[in-house]
Amino acid sequence: MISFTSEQRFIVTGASSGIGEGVATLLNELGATVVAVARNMERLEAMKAKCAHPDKVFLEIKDLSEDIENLPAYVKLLKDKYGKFQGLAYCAGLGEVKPLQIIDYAGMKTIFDVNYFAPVMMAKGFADRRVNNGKGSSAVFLSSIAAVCSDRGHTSYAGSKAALSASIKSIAREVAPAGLRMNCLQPSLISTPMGLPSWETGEFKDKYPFGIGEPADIANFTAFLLSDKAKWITAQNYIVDCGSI
Amino acid sequence: MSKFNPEQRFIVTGASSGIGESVAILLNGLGASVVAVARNAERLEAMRAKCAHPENVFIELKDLAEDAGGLPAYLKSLKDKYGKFQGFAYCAGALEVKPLQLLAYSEMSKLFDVNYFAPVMMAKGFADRRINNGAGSAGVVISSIASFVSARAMATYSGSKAALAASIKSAAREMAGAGVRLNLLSPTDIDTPMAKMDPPAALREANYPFGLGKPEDVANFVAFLLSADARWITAQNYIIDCASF
Repeated sequence: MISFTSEQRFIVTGASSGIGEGVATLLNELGATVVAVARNMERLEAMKAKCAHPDKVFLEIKDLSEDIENLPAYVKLLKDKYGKFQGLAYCAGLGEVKPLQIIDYAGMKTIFDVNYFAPVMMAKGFADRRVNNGKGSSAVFLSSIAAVCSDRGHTSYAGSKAALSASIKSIAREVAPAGLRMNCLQPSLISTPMGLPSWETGEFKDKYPFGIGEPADIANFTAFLLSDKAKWITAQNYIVDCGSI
Repeated sequence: MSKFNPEQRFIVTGASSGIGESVAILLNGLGASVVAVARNAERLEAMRAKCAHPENVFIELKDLAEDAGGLPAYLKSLKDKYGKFQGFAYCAGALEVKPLQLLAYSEMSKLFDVNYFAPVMMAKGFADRRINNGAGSAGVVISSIASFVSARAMATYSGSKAALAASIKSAAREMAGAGVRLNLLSPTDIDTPMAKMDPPAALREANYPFGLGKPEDVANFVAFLLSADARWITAQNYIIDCASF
């Protein structure tokens, strides 16, 4: 059974909805302190209201795609405010389905900022030994099945997630000597506000023998990877797709 | 090997050195017209001087990274100048070896411009049916073994090449309906000016049973993929690494 103590602090980004919300509420239920980062205060408050130990949930309003260069300094700031962190779960992300002929450079940059550059700079910030708890500290990044299997209309999205999976693997090898672990999860379509437009169409419903994935399915895996039960696991990209590809 | 004719025009980027130079010379040697794009006129002229049919080699000075968003329009202008294109080979690229703690968003963005955004925008431009020759037209984009294997200190480079592989595959599926093919090659360390670094060639030789790869080894594969011999091949990312990984 996975459990954490309230001295174990985790940063969860994208914590106001979908998988990020699922991760934040689960880590807190398992005993951890959560610093929940997102853009929308109202939705963050609603998430906190669902938590088992709301006194151990701290809300931070932040648009991660703004001022990406200074995200390492931002993580340092959070450390000064709350103390060192045991882990990070990067769950913020943007979905996009857009035919090649409609995508433009500016739009692609927007997707890459939040799906790729921001998590890489958060990884850099978290790797700083003044910020994490040293050996056993761990980070999980939400990539996507799109990193492995590029569907039509996924030019930007698949690219951003493949970039993330590759870079986090490289970074994981760099931080391994310090005892830090970093992994990516690559879920298929999950029942979240972001995934909603796709699965409501119904064409995906037959792909999943156990039905559409729930945020909790991904949150459970994330909590496992952040816990000491996964102490030998690093630099991996794990597909979570109910066997659909 | 299929021969080309001068009515078959190919855009080759990064044509002034390394793999790009080799591709330009080979396509021209096989009978095709080549529009050779790079930043350095002197080196482009030197490349043309080595060509079998220099009268069918046309030189275009362009910094692709400076105008990634404008590349579809740029391709259109090349088409207006030279006529429709049979294919393109995107061989421009930059290498970066940098530990996590030195990564900066601004520099990462720059590397992504040349290794990722520019080739994706080239593919978008080439997909326009006013620009290509329709069914049988083909593009090849040089990725890297780094799109599969993320070594330490290669976070940005691996990320950019993995992004490229995923996006080009997605774009290829979109273009398939029009009979246009799009593939990637993922070479390992090749004996080019870009890869000149530590350790020196003599040490790198040891990794490869048949010696260090030459630009010609990759160019031959590119010419095959651009030719009618590869008419059933699309949306693939082929490793060419002399069994080293």
